[in-house]
Amino acid sequence: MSSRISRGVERGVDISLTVDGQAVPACAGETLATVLLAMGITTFNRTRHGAPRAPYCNMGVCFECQVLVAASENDEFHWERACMCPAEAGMVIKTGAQLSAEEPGHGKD
Amino acid sequence: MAKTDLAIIGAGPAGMAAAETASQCGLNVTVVDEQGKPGGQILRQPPKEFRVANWLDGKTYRQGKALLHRAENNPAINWLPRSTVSGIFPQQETGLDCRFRLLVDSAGKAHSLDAEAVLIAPGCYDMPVVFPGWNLPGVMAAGGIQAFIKSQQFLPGQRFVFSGSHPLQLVVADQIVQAGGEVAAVLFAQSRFRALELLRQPAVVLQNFGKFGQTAAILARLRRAGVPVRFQQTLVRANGDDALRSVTVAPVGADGLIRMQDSEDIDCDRLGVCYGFLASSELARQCGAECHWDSARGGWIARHDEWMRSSVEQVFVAGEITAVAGSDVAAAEGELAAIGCAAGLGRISPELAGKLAGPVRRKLQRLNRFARLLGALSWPGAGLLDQLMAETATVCKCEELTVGDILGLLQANPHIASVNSAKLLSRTGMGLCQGRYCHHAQTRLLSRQLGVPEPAVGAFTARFPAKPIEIGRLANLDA
Amino acid sequence: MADHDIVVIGGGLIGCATAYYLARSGAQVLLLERGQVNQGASGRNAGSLHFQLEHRLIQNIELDVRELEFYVALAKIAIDHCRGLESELGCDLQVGMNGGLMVAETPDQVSLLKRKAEVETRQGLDVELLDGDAARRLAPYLSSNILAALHCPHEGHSNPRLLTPAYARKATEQGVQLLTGAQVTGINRERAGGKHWRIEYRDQQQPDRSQEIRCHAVLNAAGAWAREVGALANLHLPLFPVGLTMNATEKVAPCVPHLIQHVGRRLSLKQTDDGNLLIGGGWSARLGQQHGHWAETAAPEILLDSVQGNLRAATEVVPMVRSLRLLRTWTGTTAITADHLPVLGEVPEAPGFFVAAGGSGYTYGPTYARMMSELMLTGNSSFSLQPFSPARFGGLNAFMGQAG
Repeated sequence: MSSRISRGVERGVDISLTVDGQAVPACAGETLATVLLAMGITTFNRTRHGAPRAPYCNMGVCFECQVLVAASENDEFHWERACMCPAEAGMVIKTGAQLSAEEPGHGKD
Repeated sequence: MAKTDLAIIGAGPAGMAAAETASQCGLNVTVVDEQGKPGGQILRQPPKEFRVANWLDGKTYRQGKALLHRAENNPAINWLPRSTVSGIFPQQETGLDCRFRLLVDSAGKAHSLDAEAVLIAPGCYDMPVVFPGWNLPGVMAAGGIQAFIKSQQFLPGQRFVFSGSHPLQLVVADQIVQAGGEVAAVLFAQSRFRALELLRQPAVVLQNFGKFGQTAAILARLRRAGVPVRFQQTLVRANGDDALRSVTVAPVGADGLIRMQDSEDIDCDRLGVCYGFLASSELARQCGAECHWDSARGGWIARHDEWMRSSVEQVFVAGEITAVAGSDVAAAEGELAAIGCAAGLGRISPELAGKLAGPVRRKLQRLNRFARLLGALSWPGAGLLDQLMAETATVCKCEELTVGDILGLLQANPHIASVNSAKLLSRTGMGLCQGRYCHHAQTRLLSRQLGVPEPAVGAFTARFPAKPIEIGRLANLDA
Repeated sequence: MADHDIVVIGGGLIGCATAYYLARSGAQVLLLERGQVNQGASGRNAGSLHFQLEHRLIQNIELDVRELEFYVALAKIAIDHCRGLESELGCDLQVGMNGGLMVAETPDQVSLLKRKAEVETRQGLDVELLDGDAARRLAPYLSSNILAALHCPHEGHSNPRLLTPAYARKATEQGVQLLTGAQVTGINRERAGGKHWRIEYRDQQQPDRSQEIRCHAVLNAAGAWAREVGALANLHLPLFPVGLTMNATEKVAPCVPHLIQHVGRRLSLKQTDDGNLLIGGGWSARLGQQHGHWAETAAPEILLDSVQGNLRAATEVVPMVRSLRLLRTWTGTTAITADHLPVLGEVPEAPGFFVAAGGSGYTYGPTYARMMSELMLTGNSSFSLQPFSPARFGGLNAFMGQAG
């Protein structure tokens, strides 16, 4: 299980976002990668053949950590690299477990 | 539409040093970087919402932090954070009065940036190593784990194992232990004695005494914390169904062969892979800058002259894309490139440029001696990487192609002799990472298959856009 | 004695496919490719199988109507050929022929679509004009801007990554000797009534030594470089290189089953079996130059305006494209002629020297290849290639050719 480092660290203000239908607390300034790993999510997305994927490079190169993100309930979902995307209050996120084969990026076999 | 004299791609040590020097020489400078704050990966800053006491306190970071502080507070430097340069287009034939147009993808919006000269300093990324299970959630680049700690103040796991050949893994393991995490083992594929070869070069030791001291201190701290640092051992497989549960490791014999019969499993929930780095030479290759192959120093790296000029006029290169050599070399190269650029654009005289460049070049020479040696000692050797590439291991993670798939295609199509042809037939390199993660392994597989050296099979053509970009943003760009 | 019956120059679709059909009929064939198999337009095009008259062909529809009718007649043969390709070659080529729609956004474009439909229907090509709503019922992803569409049920796509290599493998199986990295440096007819051609080439492996072989006939299948290969034989071939732009999006779930083209704008759009949308349609890229000549071995340079223009057309016709990520843009060089029709046949001034290049070479390539093999082996083809013969360039080669 991952953990936030607390000694000598003052994190951003508390915010709340929705991950796979569940309200999740986070701190301003955290990336979605941090928020999801802190929740214990290990599968960020699945390949078209169903293989689980999660952050690898944590610097925006590998695209392994992408998740579907909408700015709010009423917005469109876009793929974002979780490691490059700062968490914002009210965001709605869908990860691996919730992605059906019909989502963009998950084409047929 | 924005305009600048010098567009600098990358806000790491090379980019920051170049920006500082170029602005001192009177150039209007714009630095484009993908992260929210400057510093690059070596000084990956916490977000502005965080307050971190004693951030990167060690001696290793002292010089870099001083540069970062000066650069961030320099009002003459324009920063474009959270922005990706998708492409560099020469404009000399389209009637615009600027030499280059850069297409910049900033969060939510694409725009153009016109520049007289470009410095490409995008750094490097952890070399992907192909072994069974490397895509399993829980396996990460050691540099990626470190970025969580440095920037997000976050330990992405409970029990860590590191395996590789590069000393960075010692630094990361140390940072984890200091943050209260558990490191089950740090494994080096090389023998302990190979590391000692550095010490046989007295001049290098004397000139880089500080670095040895820091490494010794890290080793002492790890020993006190009970972290085993083992030599001649390597990861061979990551185990788990949907997430990492353990890593299988095995000894490496004096003959360089992995002894699978003596393998053991180490339980962990986070594995850091640390076999070196690849230069991010995509933009350089995309705009036609010549590159050459160096296995131990970043794969395809950009050629340059004594002013860090690439083979394309007014395109400069600095930092890891000229050879992976660390932040001190990068900063010196950035400085040199800025001086060269200022002279090239006529902002300073050739005499002044020569005078300014002299001490930088001497410093570079000294730093490069150490970097070269470190690079050679940290390179695991193609033979070791080949042994890790089991038939079932994934080569192209985006298209889900295994070593066996690729070898099968190569056998069925014996006329294939370049990585580009192999890409076209197999789809390796056609996914979201645009080949960054399969390039090295694909090069190795093909060159091995044909019995030719790696450069003979060529590089993937680096295409526009440098990173995927949303079409709506690109189509509606008002240039 | 000839070393080979036929030498094919060019390892693209037409070269590999013709070599295969020739060898299947018993000819001894050597194929020489300067670079790698499928490296040129054959592997770089976007894989459209388009049987309606394309945008570029109908700009002067009244002037060219007779030639265009020939072309439509050929389309009917090519349709059957495409449908049988996978079983013919015994492998998956990702052929999908679910129909194509050529759309119109303005009243003028609708009229052009109607005129085009008349020409096509007269030749028996299966096309149906749909109004905007009918088009959207068939293809709900189309924009509300679309006023009409011409539907051809046979159109679609196959995968250019796979087609030429499949022919190359089959050709090799049939005994074709396939040499890559082999650049032809001389093409000469034997003197004094000799029946043979002498082909001189250099093998990348032995760059200092040129090799020579003799053959009965030569096929110039060098695509965008066919003009240079013609020059080696002292012939003018009016084929001109053009640089084109193609774009690929990220993979998405199946959403565009048809081939989409535009009657008045440069656009082709389709979804591959892998899930990527490929967007092209004839947007130019800049050919490199060196010393006043086209530097044709380098890929043409991407023009940002072309990329944006192409993508804008795509988003206006298929709005969902807007939210997709562009993965890559690439360019390729293809060959065009003044009339946009292919050059297929023997050069009258140089008996035994054949050309097959230009003219929608991906869609029609397998068919051109089969016809060319018939022509080369028997002097006739099952569908007359006469309208596409190099003879149509009249006196261009009156003072050229080979001393016999």
